[in-house]
Parts: sequence; structure tokens; C-alpha cells
Amino acid sequence: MNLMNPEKHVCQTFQKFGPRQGRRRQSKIVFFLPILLIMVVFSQPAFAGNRITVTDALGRQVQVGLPVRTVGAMNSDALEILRALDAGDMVSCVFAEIVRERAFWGKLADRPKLGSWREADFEAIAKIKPDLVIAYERNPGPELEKRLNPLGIQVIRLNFYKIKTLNREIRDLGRILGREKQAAELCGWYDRQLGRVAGRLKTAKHRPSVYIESYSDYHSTGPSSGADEMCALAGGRNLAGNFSIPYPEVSPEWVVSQNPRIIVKAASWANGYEKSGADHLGRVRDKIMARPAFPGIAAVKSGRVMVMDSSVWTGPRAVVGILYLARLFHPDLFGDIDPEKVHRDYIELFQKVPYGGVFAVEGVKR
Amino acid sequence: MTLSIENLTFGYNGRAVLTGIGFTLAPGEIVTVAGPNGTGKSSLLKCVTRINPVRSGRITLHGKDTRGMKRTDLARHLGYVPQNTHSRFPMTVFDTVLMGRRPHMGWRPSRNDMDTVSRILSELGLADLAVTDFERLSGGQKQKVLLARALAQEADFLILDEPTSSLDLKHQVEVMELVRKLADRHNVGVFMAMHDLNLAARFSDRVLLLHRGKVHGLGKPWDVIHEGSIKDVYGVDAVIAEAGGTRFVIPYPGDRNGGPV
Amino acid sequence: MKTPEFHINTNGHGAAFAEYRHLVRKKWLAMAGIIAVFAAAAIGSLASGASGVGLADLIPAILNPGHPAHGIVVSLRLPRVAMAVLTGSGLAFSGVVFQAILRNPLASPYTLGMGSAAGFGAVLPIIFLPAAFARDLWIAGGAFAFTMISAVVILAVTRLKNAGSETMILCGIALMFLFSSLTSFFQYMGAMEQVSEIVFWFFGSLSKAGWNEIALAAVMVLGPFPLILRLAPDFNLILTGDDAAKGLGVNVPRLRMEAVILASLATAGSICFTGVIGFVGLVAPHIARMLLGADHRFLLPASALCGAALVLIADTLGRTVWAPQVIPLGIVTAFTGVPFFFYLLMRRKEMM
Repeated sequence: MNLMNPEKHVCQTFQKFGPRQGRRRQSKIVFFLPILLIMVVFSQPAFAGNRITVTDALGRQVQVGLPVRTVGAMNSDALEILRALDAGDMVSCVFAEIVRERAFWGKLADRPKLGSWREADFEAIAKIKPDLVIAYERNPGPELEKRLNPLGIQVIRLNFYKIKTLNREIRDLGRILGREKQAAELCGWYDRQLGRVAGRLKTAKHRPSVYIESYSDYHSTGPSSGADEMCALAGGRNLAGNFSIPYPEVSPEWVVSQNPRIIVKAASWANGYEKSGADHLGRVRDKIMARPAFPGIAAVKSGRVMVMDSSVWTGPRAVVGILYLARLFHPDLFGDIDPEKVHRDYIELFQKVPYGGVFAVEGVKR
Repeated sequence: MTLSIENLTFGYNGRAVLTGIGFTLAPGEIVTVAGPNGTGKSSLLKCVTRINPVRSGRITLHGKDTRGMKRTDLARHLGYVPQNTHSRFPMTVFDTVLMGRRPHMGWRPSRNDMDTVSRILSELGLADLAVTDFERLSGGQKQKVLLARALAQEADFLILDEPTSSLDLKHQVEVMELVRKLADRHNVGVFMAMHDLNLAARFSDRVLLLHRGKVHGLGKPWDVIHEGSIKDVYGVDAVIAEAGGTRFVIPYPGDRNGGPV
Repeated sequence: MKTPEFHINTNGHGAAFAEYRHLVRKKWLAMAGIIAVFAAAAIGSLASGASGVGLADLIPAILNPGHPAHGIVVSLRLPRVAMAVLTGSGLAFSGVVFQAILRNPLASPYTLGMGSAAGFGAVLPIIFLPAAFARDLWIAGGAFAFTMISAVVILAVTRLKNAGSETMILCGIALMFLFSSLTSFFQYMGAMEQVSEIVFWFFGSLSKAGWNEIALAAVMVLGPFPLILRLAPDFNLILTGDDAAKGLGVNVPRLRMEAVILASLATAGSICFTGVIGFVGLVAPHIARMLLGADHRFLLPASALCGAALVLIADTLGRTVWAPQVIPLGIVTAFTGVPFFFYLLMRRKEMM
């Protein structure tokens, strides 16, 4: 009777707003049998070999036994970083929702599945026996460690969706996997993009007020949400930034009376990578602009309404989202910046797949 | 002006409950159906009121087959008081009796409906309880209110299912005297189910003894109720004793040699 | 005995009638009180909000299109109040109907699985049509369709088995579990953002409804109301049992069928644009019943007003007590309804 206790869901659900996932189980155990054998003979990671200590997403000091040769990715954020670190081949099992985004993940989508992003299939994981499983800080729950550690499978919780901790988490994962060089490259790239934005914002005279709306209508994002962080880094003033909770509901009247200069909305699971047109985002934008009493809002009058695909809305590619936002907030400072080009660089350089898709759409001046 | 039942048959799940029942009820007459538990007394009552679907046989009211009648029309002629009526929700006595006016009234009760209810409440000595919750009444009061409701239907016949069950001795007699009065004074025909053979014999004009869904005997009470029929129908030994000019059924344990006390 | 001639002590007869008339007058008084509370709740809701437009500006803002607060009051607050009234009243009088035909004080639209069914109907488009055209309409349509499907299933089962209230309740509970688990399954399949949307849909909100939605909801809620009110005397009769009601001339199976269809329609209209707003359908009938008794000719309109007032008050509180954050409506209805309900329960022990 989940539905009777919605609060429970919210706290489990809102670690972040962002990734996209998939399903289905395929057994390729034959293919992985050699790996399993090697693992049993050589590693026993929890007891033998070197150990390194890293800080996980919950702030705990966690020891990871080395070497780590195979990894299970519980969610798309972890998988995206793994691929960016050139560690795609080490991924022995993936989250079930991946099949929804076959185009983006390619052959990775065919790897065996270890359950959904918030509910692990322990039997499947036990069968595949990766050296390490990467999960969000709260999903799945603590039963993950409780069940897997006795089997000699290590669990580490890394979020990869908070910009503040993103680089540290990437470097730690690089150390664990022996991909320090790739980690440094990726972090350097992030730092350059963020540094460029921060540098230009030094000359900004104002921070425009922004109404941020997440996937549900009239649900904004408050302090310690990923979108609030993005907004701040892009030089905007989140109207719900001083609220008490991260994902508050607001009333239409509050939005109208705040008269935001800019409105930003996250499009619900839209799979922007596979889209060739912007119709789906445009529809969401048009609906917002036509809401009762909204035509009087400054943002709607000036057309500064943006709808963003969830793949650049927080998560490893939040920096792309930040660039879109920065250009929207400060067209005078970021007029020459092309977020799409930056996005293309990231996709081709780090994800090593062809760039494609539509990820944001803006309004037009009335 | 009679209610007649001809060759009535009823059953469910392929099992016959009642077979070939037939009798006639005249205005002002009280006919009581008696018989052991599970012999089909309540079913018979519900068939007569067409609450149970009748498989075969005819029920006619003033010679008119009730099968073609609408439920509301039937309710103007037959008042039915089921066993164990209770409500989960608060309804006053007045409202409960007013329900009896439903076959006659529209959405809103008329002045005439209100007057009828008031009159009946007074007649039955219930006027003081008019705005009391039905559920707060004693068993005897409840039964009287339900009789009042059936009376408010202004029906020609009353069908009563165990009107005295769960009442104490005093209230049993009170309710039965009321029923008798209704039959005598207002010429209402009463068909009721009852377990207490003594009470049935004392207040009924005729008794219908039911055995395994068939009529075992129908006639004047003491013609139907005798040692033989009690043994046949109930499987119990009994004697009919006489005291103060009235006869009584006295059952006794199955030891024949012991005889009555 | 068409014209019975009782020879009676006439003073007694007058007394009963007078007492009853007095009781009816008290009912009208209670009704007036409910109407006053409802009106106050509606005006209070119209006069409160984040923009600070208050009671004094209300009338000029409504009448004068040039008034600065015209947009706020007419485009934002009025539709909100209208939707609150429709949702609250629809859920409340469907609750009365279900409680009557099932003779069960615990019955409500949700006990019969309709809330879960509607939720499941809303979840389908959230999961499978993430970027569809007119997605909100799909969600509302899904909720509506599945509410009606649950009603049809319940009716079919009761007709097939010729069964009574217990079967209907069991059937509704079975449907509730079925649709809850189906919802959980699709929730499990869903990505994070879809899960959050589902959770928020189940919270309920009045912000989503514009005038078009309100017009549709009005047809579904206000349409069945007079038809249900017409059946009020029969609902009174069915309270004392199916057999008694049949004996008094009620076609019970038909009454049940009509009642379920009409009440489900009103339920569907109440929740398809707002989400699951729990508790109103259960508690508003009881509040009204405690105030003026079980006579459905009074109870139906009274509980509709109580339900509307409850949702209005809950929504106003939800928007103001923790402003600018809004406490989701479904949570506040329970917060406000339960204490009041307890208070009445303590005061009138004889109830139920």
C-alpha cells in the first residue's frame, strides 16, 4: 500500500531530479564465466590486495579493496561517468531502465541487469558477482551493503549529480579503477567550463529572478536541490532558494505575484538524445506560457521561458544545463557561448558516441 | 379482497426449498406459518412479498397476479416486516415510520403523510418516542415501530417475520395483542412466521405447519398442532395440556415411559 | 384499511408531529449553519493568497477588469474555489451514496477502489506518454476511465452473483489492492522524474484545473447530483436492509446500479483533474450526519456543502500556514478533517 504513504516516497525519490533509466534481463553468464573465474582465483577483494580509502556520498570513509576489475552501475549517472573514464568495458552489469535509451548507451544496454535504480536484484548481482557496485546515496537502501558485502561484493555510494562533489567523486572513482588520467581530464574539462561561467559572471550587474519548476506543475526546487545549485552557478536568483524544503509545492498565485524574469522547467522523461525536433519541449513551453494569469509575468512577456531535457538538468551533464541557463540569464555576457557545442564536445570526447538530439527550447518575445 | 398463494415452488442453487405451497388469506384473518428452523418459513414470507423470485406458482392479490405488478404497487397492498431490522445510521422513530409512506408519497411527504404517521404513532403508544433514535429503542419498542411502519403503508395485508423473536414474555404478548387488534379492528390480513406454537395458537385464526418445504397441515390451530404432527415435524415428543380453558403444547424429553411431568 | 379510523387520544398525535416539526426546524438551522460555514470558507479562500489581495479588494477586483488584482482573483482564485467546491462536494455526496447503498459507515469512493483505480489510470500516461500531446488530458482521461472501469467491474460482479453490499465492499477492496499494486509496479518501472510525478499526483492539487477542466468536472459532478437527490427517500429505506426496502417498494438492484453509476461519475469528475484527495469522501458524510441526521433529503446537500467547505478550508490553510510553500491538499484535508471529526465523535457518542 505504497500509495497510502506518499511521504515515504518523496524522501526516497528526491535524491535528485534527473537521470533516465531502463529494464529487461539477459543472461550472458557464459561470456562472463572467465571473468568470474579470474576473480575467484586472483582477487578476493575484500580480504586480499591493496585497499584505498575514499569518502562516499554519505560522507563516510569507505575502504575499497583492490583490484576492482568489474563494476555494476545501478544508475545512469554512474554509468555515464564510468564511460567517460574509459571504463565502459569494466561494466559487467547495468540498471534495468537502460533499455529505454538504447541509442545513447549502445552495447552497454545489452549487459546483464542488476535490478532497477532503486531496487536491486540481489540474486542477479550475486550471479554476476561484480567487484564493486556503484549506487546513489539512498537508493537502493542500506540492504544493498547488508546483502552484498557477505558475498564479497563491495558497494560504494557515489551520486555524480551534485556539482559540489562531482569532481571529488570522479577522482575517487578514477583511483579505484586505475583511471586517474581520464579522471583528471574529465575534471579539468568541468573546471574549465565552470570557470568560464564564473569568470564572466564577475561582471554581472544583477541576478535575475528565476522560477524553477520541476517535472510536476507548480512543484519548484528549493535549497539543496540540484536545480537550485545550477541556477546559482548560472547567475540566477532562484525564487524558491530560501524555502525550507528542497522540493516544495507552490501556488500559481505566488508565481504570478513574484513576477519572475525567467521561468525554467524540466521536461519530464523526454529522451532528448533520440529526438530530432523540439516539438515535445515546445508543447511544454507553450502550456506554461498560456497558464492562467501567466501572460502577465515578465518572463512570459519577454519570452524568457526555457524547457530543458532531464539529461542536462542536474547529473553529470549539469554543466551543459548551466551554460544554457547562463546564456538565458545573461545574454549580454554569454551571447557568444554555444551550449550545444560544449555538449557536443562532451558527448564526442568523453562518451564517444555521435552527438544528436534536442535538449532545450526557449520562448519567443510576445 | 384476498391474498392467495397457489402451488408455489421456490429453490436456489438447484435445491428445492418450498414445493407446492397453497393457501388463501382473507382480510382480518391471522395465519401463522410454523415449523422447525430451516424449513422455509422466512423464504415463504419473502416469496409472498416477491422479495424472493418465485420459480413457479401464482400469487394473486384480489385475483390479480402480483407478478406483473410494480414493486411500489405491491407495497401499497403488502406490508412486510423482516426479522432483525437494524440501521447503522441514526434515524428517528418518526422518520422510520414515515418510510412506510414511501409507496404513497413523492419526494417530499405531504401533510397527509405526516398526519398518518402521527396518528399511527399515537395509536401504538409511540408518540413520546417520535424523535428518539430507532437504534436506542428496546426490542419491543423496535418491533412496534416496525409494525407502525408497516401500518403506515396502509396495506391490506401484513407479512411479519418472527415479530416476537428476541422479545421478553410481556412484550411478546403486547406485540401479539397489537397484531390481533389490527386484524380485528382494521380488517388487516396478517401472515406471519412464528416459532412459539402456544403464542401462534392463541393469536392466530389458522396455522400452517411447514415440514421440509411442504404443507404438513393447514387449519384451525389445535386441528394442526397435536402430538402426532409435532412428532412428525419437529421429531419431539409433546403433550397438549389444558389449563384455564386454554390448551398448551408441552414438549418433554424423548423417554416415552417417563411421560409428561 | 384504506382510510383507517383510529379512535385515539388526539393530543398525543399532535405532540409527535410537533416534536418532529421541531426536529426538522433544527435540521434547517443546522443546514443554515453549514451554508454559512461554506460561504465563509469560500470567501476566505477568495480573500487569501500569496499576492496579498485581501477582502477589501475582492469585490472591486472581480467587477472591474481594469483593477490590478483582477487577474489574480478572477483567473487564479475563482477557478481554484470552483474546483475545490466541485471536488469536495462530489466526493462527499458520493461518499453518502456509497455509505447508504452499502450500509457501511466506512464506505467511501476510495473503499470501493475508485481512488486506486483513478490513480492507476493517471499513472499509465505518466509512464507511457512522457512527451505526448495534451498529456494532462490523457492523465485526467486515464483517471476518469479507470474510475468508471472499477465501477463497472463492481456492478458486473454484483449483478452476476446477484450479491449485496458485502460482496461489493470485498470487490472494492480487491480492486483497491489490484490497482495499488499495478501502480506500484509501474512506479517501479518508472524513472525518477516519473515517480515524483506519480507521488505528486496522489497528493492532489487544485492548481492544475483551468476553466475548461472545471466545466468538464461540473458536468460530471453537478449532473448526477439532482438525479441522486431524487433517490434520497430510497436511500433512507435501504438503510434498514435490502428486504425491508424491497418490501417498501424499492427496486433494490436497480437502485444500487443507478447509485453506483451516478456516484462513480461524480467521483471521477472530482478526482480526475485534481488527484486523489483522500478522506473527504469518508468524513464529510459523517460530519453532516452528526449535524442533522441520516435523512438523505437533508444529508445529501448538507454533506456536499460540508465536503466543499472542508476542501476550501484545507486548500486555504495549505496555501497560507507555511507560505510560500504549499502543503499538498491531500495531506491538509486529513489534517483538518480528522481533529474536527474526532471532536464530533466525542460529542455525540450515540452516533453509529
